[in-house]
Amino acid sequence: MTKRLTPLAALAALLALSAGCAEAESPKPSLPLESPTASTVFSPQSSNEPLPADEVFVPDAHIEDGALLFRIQVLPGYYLYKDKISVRSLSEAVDLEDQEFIEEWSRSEVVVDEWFGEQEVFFDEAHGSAEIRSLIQNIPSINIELSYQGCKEEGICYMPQAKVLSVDVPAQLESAADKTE
Amino acid sequence: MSRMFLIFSAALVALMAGALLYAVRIPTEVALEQVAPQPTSLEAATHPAFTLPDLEGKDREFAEWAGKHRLINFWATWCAPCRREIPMLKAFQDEHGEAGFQILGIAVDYPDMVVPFAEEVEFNYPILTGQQDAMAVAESSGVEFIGMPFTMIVTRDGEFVGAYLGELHQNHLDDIVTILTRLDNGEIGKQEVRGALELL
Repeated sequence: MTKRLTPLAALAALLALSAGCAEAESPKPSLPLESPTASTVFSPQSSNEPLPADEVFVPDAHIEDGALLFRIQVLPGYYLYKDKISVRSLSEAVDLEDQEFIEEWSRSEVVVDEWFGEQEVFFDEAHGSAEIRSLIQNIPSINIELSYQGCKEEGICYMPQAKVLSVDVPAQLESAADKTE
Repeated sequence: MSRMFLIFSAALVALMAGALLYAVRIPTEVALEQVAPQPTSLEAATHPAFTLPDLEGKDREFAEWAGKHRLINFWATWCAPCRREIPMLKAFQDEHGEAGFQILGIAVDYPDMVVPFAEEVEFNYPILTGQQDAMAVAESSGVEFIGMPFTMIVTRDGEFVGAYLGELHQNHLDDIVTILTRLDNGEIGKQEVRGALELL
């Protein structure tokens, strides 16, 4: 009564099983876990929701020709208030002169705010420099704090930001500092 | 012939064993994903509770306004869209205060900036102030507090049902009144309220 499995039948079974396994291995749509945050926050522009400040405003800085050059990149649709931008040294080793904005690299516009009057704001990015008045000791890097505050057009205003950046001190500048010691 | 049969049989057994193991493994993963979601801060903070100082420096507990539908509006003197909302919020308080709606302003700002501004604006709703502690209240909603204006909506029984990031307009306030009134009348439940607030 026992029927022997012929090679042909075995091959057919093998193919059928392989097909079944292939189906089982195909990616299954995972059930999305409900996000309470997404379900309870509503915003006027769901497809254009405000992004976190760190994604909107991206600061960086470096030292060049005896000056600290800083830059804050701004995403389209957002802006920074010029008078809210400031830089200061957190390292005792370095003393910075007052900052200046590099106008040719920064696109600023004057906007009229119903509450604050005429305000100069930066779209796209803001560039500035602060001359290094003195560098007391020979150090590889300094810490600076870059502060700024901005808003989204027709949207929200971000909390004032204060970012600490570590800036490499070029060897050339270190040598110059050495000479002053 | 029999050699080929043996090869096929061995392959078949191996495949069946593999398929069996795979079938056992899949449900385990799905079950873990579906059954064990991590508790969220929102779930832990469905009923906000906090104490912040008012403009006279006196500590005020949020529970003081229990029994009212509360719109907790976070703002700052340096925030233009926040300032634009204020006349509308004052009008809202005048119009709907008696019906049990309460605006509560939380200035995420320095009191020495807020106090003179408040005297100028003549708020008709309470203003509390704070810094990190005020931001912690906003973040207790489970929402990352990235900017202002930001408004949390809490029902009469103290349950947080929604938050609005951005400038409120009159139509938003009208809809909020409609939704919460329907909740009061028993026409909809909390889940419907949350869903309706999402659609504003």
